[in-house]
Amino acid sequence: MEQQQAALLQPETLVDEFKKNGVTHIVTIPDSETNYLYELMKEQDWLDVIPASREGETFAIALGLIVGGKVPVCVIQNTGMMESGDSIRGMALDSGFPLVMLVGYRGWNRHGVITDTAAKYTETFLHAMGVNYYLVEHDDDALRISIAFEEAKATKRPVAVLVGDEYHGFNRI
Amino acid sequence: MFDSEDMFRAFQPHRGESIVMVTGTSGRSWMDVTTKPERDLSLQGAMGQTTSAALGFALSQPGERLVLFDSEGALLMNLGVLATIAGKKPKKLLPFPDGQRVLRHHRRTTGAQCPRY
Repeated sequence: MEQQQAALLQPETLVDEFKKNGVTHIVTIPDSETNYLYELMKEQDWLDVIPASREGETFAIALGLIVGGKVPVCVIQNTGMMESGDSIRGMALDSGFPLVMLVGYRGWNRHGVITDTAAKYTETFLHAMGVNYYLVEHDDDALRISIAFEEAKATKRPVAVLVGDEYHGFNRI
Repeated sequence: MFDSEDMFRAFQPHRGESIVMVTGTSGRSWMDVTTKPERDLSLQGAMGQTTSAALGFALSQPGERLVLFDSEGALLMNLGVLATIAGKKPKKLLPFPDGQRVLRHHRRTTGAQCPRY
């Protein structure tokens, strides 16, 4: 069990990846499921956390930050991503700037039948929008986050990182 | 009725070195009024989101004064941004919600706002 826990994706690993890739701002929707990650991000003196009111806002705020020379990441959940369709279209895809969005993959699992429609439609939605994505579940997958940053820079498009284990280790209160 | 072009003409002498953002139907007339197009910025693309984009820019360039003209219809679509702005307190972001006549224009295309006559 301990070995299993150690292998899970740690919020600290995400923060390390942000630092490694020069992230300056996190635009996010704070929620009870990711409170530890939120508190951890706020502790970093090199990182500015912007709590938004809804997910669609995060892409617009990120665009303003990018135009001003900063490196933001949108940290949201898949439900909010789907609600943000027009913002992703108008503020992320059409703008032609690189952007990584970290998306909690609510309802996803690899061990049984997926019943949560939030998970059922997540990848379908990303395919429809033409947004490429990488799934991360464990610390060993962290390299895929850097790959997403590199791809976003090279293509000047948004790239999603789906966090397949968002409810383990992100909430420690 | 206060026309948006009249509003822009009244504002123009006072812009100084401000960066100016406009959006939507009403914003088009700014292009006829501005004398510093190199200091104008367009970050529109999704109705309701320009104010959020302005916030992002203001946070990235805290030394620049940013004046935003957004329609009240657009602001109504994204009222939560006011709480986001209040939380981050950008010192030099000046949002001007535009209303009434502009609302009529937007009402034709979105239908989401309360009609006023």
